[in-house]
Amino acid sequence: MSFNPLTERGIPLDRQLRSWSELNVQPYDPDGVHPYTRCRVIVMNGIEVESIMNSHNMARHVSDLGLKQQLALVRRAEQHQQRAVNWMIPGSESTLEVTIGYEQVAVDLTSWLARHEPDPYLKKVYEFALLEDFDHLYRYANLMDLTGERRKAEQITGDLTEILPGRPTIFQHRDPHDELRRPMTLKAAHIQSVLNGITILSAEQQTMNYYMNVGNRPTDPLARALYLEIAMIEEQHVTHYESILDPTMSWLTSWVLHEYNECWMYWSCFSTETDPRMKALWELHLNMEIEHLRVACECMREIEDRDPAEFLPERGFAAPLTFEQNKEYVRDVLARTVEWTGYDAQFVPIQQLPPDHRFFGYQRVVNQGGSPTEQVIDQHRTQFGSEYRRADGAPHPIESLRESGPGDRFPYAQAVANSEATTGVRVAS
Amino acid sequence: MTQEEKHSPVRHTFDKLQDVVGGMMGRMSASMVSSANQFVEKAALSDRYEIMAGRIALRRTKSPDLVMLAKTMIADHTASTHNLQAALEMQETRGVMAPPAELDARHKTLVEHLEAAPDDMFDSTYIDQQVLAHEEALSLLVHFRDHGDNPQLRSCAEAFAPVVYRHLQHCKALKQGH
Repeated sequence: MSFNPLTERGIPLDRQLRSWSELNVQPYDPDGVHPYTRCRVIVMNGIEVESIMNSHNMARHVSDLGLKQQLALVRRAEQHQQRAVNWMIPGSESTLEVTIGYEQVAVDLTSWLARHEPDPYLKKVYEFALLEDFDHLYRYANLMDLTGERRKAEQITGDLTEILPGRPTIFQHRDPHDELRRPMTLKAAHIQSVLNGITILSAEQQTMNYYMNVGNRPTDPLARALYLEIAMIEEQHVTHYESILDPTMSWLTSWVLHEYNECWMYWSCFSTETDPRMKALWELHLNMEIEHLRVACECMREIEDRDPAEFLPERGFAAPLTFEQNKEYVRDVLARTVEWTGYDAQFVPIQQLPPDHRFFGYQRVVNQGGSPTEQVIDQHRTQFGSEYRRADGAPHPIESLRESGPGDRFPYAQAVANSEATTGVRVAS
Repeated sequence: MTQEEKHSPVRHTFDKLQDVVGGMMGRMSASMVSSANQFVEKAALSDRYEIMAGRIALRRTKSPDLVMLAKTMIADHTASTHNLQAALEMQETRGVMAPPAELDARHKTLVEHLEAAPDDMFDSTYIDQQVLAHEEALSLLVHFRDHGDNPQLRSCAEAFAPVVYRHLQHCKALKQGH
């Protein structure tokens, strides 16, 4: 199964505008929607936002009026697409329910990308952040249970994704230097690595934006605190993922790649969607994107005198991105890498950091007074006598992260204790 | 190294001369590197020397400016080391040789001269070596950035060349002040 958007004909730009009533789509049914249809809506909203913001930023850095006009035309159509996609989310789904959807996207999207990443270093980059988003899902699920929402988290995820601790959020707070990874180069990287990178950056950026917009809406202080702490990690993930993209690309190259990636993503949604109404939307948007890609490629030929065939594959996309279960894979990543941390562009077990490493200083500052992501679990235990977890039966692969496990034997907890003992400075509050 | 083992002022003068000649040769050879294996070797040696020299400086200098410089060198060249190691894990560098596990003879000599510098000449020795080492590193990075045979490692060189340029300017300014 393959698809080459460069050899297809799309919908001409002048026929892409839609009326308000067309854009104000009937939302999906929150009780009947397939969890992975919700995931596709969430991720495609993020893909459109990234594409639009990339276009805006590009427009701010070019003086060529003709190019600005083309960008504005395409961007308007992208704005319409974003509305049609994002308005699929019903108002009857609460902020927290949508949040669970965002975290399910983070877990199953990142897992798919990691499993299909041809570059061994970039695979580590995905696996590293995967365990952090996996933990966020568990923390929000506990909050959801505490706040007495009409549904539990597993009703949103459809039990397709386990809800268990990952790398605990309290230990995800790192010095900003330690979020910067080594970029791939467009010249030598596999095109799948480029598509993976733009896709995950779009998703994480949208997650950060969503939490920063809705995180102050709850009245419950713990809920507000939880959003602000996790939103900070999402910013770290944006920094982490944007740093793997080739920083030397021209604006036009970046535009072409964004359009190419949108074609891949809409084709993926179209190819894997089970809801006929959604499938029709994905197909419509794919046909729009084929034209956006053609326009961007034409601009590159005219303005830079370069042929996008220099970096786009002759045969198109090999396989669609698929939302599917990754339970065993996540468990495997947990078992292999839960104790990793970032040290500049490298990933190392936390025990390898020197006791006076900047990680411990940063932890001391931000976790002073406690961490809301720990408090939400403590409160759930106090109120219900246990935590909210959803697993298929097998115990958590990390003994110290089991509900009654010895938390003080977790490698991060031991590293913090060692740092405190060696430096005489208290890290944990 | 004990006080007795440190070099006399006369011997120290010869040490510095040897450092200068070695630095000039190093710079010349660095400015011709375009193969990935050679780049990895030289870049890794340069980072390792900077980290070792920085640690010696932290132990020996009493100058707050040099303490700051040494801390910056250790942090930045550790970051450079990690970037290079990350680059070598990538598919784009498949087949490129791993960096050497130890310093080469020339960098070992630099470290020995730094350790052996009399106390009252340590600061000037450290700064002089820093200028030489950064001139060599900058030549390596700029040449490989423009002519290297591996895109990923060229990208590494491009990322670190501005940092080394700023280090060099800073070291030259400190040298004028000492």
